[in-house]
Amino acid sequence: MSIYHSANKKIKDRSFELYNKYYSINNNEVIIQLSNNETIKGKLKGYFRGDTTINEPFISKWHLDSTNYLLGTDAYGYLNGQLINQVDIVKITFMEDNTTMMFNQTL
Amino acid sequence: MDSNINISNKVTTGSLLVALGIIYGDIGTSPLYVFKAIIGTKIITEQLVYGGLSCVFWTLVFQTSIKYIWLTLKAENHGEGGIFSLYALVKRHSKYLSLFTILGATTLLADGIITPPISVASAVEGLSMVKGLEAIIIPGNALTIGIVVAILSFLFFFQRFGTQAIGKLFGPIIGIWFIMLLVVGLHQIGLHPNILYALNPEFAYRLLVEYPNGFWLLGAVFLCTTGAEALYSDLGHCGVKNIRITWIFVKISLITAYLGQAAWLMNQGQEFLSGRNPFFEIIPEWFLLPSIIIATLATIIASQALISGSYTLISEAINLNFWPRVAVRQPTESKGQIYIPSVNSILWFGCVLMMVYFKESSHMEAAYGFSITITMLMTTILLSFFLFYKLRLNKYYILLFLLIFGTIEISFFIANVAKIKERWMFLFFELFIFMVMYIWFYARKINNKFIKFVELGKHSAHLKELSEDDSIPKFATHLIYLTKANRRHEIEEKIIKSIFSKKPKRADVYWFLHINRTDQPYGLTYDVSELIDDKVIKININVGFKIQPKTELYFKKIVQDLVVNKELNLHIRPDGSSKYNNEPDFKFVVIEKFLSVENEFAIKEGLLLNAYFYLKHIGLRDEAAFGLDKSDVVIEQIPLVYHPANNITLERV
Repeated sequence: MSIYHSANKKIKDRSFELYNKYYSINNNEVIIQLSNNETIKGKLKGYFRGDTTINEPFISKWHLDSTNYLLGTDAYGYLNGQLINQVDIVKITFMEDNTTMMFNQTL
Repeated sequence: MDSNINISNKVTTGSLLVALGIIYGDIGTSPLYVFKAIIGTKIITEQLVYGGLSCVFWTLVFQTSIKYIWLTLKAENHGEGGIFSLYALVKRHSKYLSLFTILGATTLLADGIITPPISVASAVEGLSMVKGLEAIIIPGNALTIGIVVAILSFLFFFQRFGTQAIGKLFGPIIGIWFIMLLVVGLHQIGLHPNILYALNPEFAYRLLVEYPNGFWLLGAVFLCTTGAEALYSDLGHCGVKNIRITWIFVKISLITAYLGQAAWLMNQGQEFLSGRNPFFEIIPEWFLLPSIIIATLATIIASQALISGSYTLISEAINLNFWPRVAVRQPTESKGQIYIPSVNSILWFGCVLMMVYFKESSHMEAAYGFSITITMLMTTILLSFFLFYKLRLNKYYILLFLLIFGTIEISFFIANVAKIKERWMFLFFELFIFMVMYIWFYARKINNKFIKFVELGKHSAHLKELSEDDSIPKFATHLIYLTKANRRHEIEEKIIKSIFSKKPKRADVYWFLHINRTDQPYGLTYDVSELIDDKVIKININVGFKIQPKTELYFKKIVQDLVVNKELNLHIRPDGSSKYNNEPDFKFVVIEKFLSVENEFAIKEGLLLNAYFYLKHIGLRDEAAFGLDKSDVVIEQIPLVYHPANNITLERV
């Protein structure tokens, strides 16, 4: 089981699980609940790898976007949507099967 | 490549001679200067000579036999050794290990510029004892310096041609050298057998504790084991068994030579050494000139091994992302033999500078050894991780290991710290190497954090559509991108952007090629994933960290294999561009990054990234580093924006 450290807490890394689940479904719309209680709806357009050798999650950041642009950037190259840190994700609900994944579970 | 490991593990007369020639040149030529350095200008007393000899003997027992021959050689990475191989074995167990490795490799390279001049100078200075040459060869005079500089320059100049032709002589010459050590040492022991009592560790203890400033003599004693790291670094060339077997002979020869010198010192009748070298003093006068010739050849071989070792070290550093990509050449057909022109120039310049600055070997003795104590300490730390995590030794054994060798090596380190004032100029060299490794390793990590990956599957349909859109001129039959994405379905977003840019790159087949540098030294394998049959194909090539990648060659070979196995149809969609020549063309796209002016950084991050991109600029270009033919490559430059300035107040007036 992979873990990462956040604010001196050992947290189970479920980013790879999310990666596998997300890219195996057809309806890519998800609802993400963040640690600041904000809830956002959209699609994960891309991601940034973490450095697991320094106890970062497998995926450190996700790019969430609600538009239909192919690459999540507009005609001028500016990023649409927002970047979300893996450590800030509390819960994800998948619209395809209405299942949820919980995150930030300390060990 | 496994066969290579088996060959080096076979024990034959030939393999033992190879081990002698490659491994033991450095440690084997130490008797030329160790006792001279211990005695220095001090009064020759029984306490000093017996104590010095005892220290040398027990240093060889602990530091060389136990630590390196017995323990460190266990840490072989598929037959390979050295600090980077060790790092590759244990790197996942702590994030700090990269820093220890950088420090160890830096100091190993740094002492590399003093080993050749000190060894060659010690041998050449022996000519001053030959009758008729006393007035001509004087240590430190222009002629002696000139001879040493000429020998070293000759040695560095011929690196570009490889050592395959003369390499076969290395083993026999070093073999003759050790036999010479054995014979002259035994002769002196025969005359004064009481010297054998000096092996009692009590003499070492008394020297360190009771002799005035005795502890600081460890700086000179340490010179007897400076070559020990080479036993591990060159493991891949010789194999564990060959190194261990030859060590028995080498150690007996070395101890005998040191005993012989100590015996002579106790019976030579003078109060001071007065510039004499105990090593040449125990050689019969009639054999002096041949012995100097053998010694000079042995020191050249020792220097050669060190130079080759430096190439190997930098090559491994490049492949493990500790060093910018520089030109690496293979001067001969001999497997594993490499030549790095930039490293050769740096080492040559450093060695010549050392010789001109220090002028004679005795001055170099006062500066030599400091760096290697740090290398050994770093190896000890990495090795403790190996023993704990890989060999699963009990933690109390690990603590005992760290206690014993930590104490020994920290003592040597402290004793050698006094040498800093003699070697201050080394600090610049060390700082330079350290900074290059640090910047390259850590800035690259920052860089990698900002690579955005996307799901290739999401873009497959678009790629197919583009490929079949005849309204867009064809860019290439086969379009190949190098990617850092190692998973089957992922790709960097910048690649997708490059394909679907304002002028989309239409191709019959899109290839995404990932070169995976493995933690194993050798091995060359690949796997293929076809996301859309004959249209979108991802290839992972696993290349061992000791192999120089030849991407284009590998790629074409893989395509050939796929066609032969009927897994790939090299079809060409007829269009205007293929009317006159229907031969498939392969076009590689290399995406070069540069720092955008839009960035705003924190000071440390900014310095690191700017230095990284500067090193990248002066280093080898990506297409050359990946072994791509220039005519098949398209270079694209994309800006990297890490932290765009966002506090802009722009008002329309």
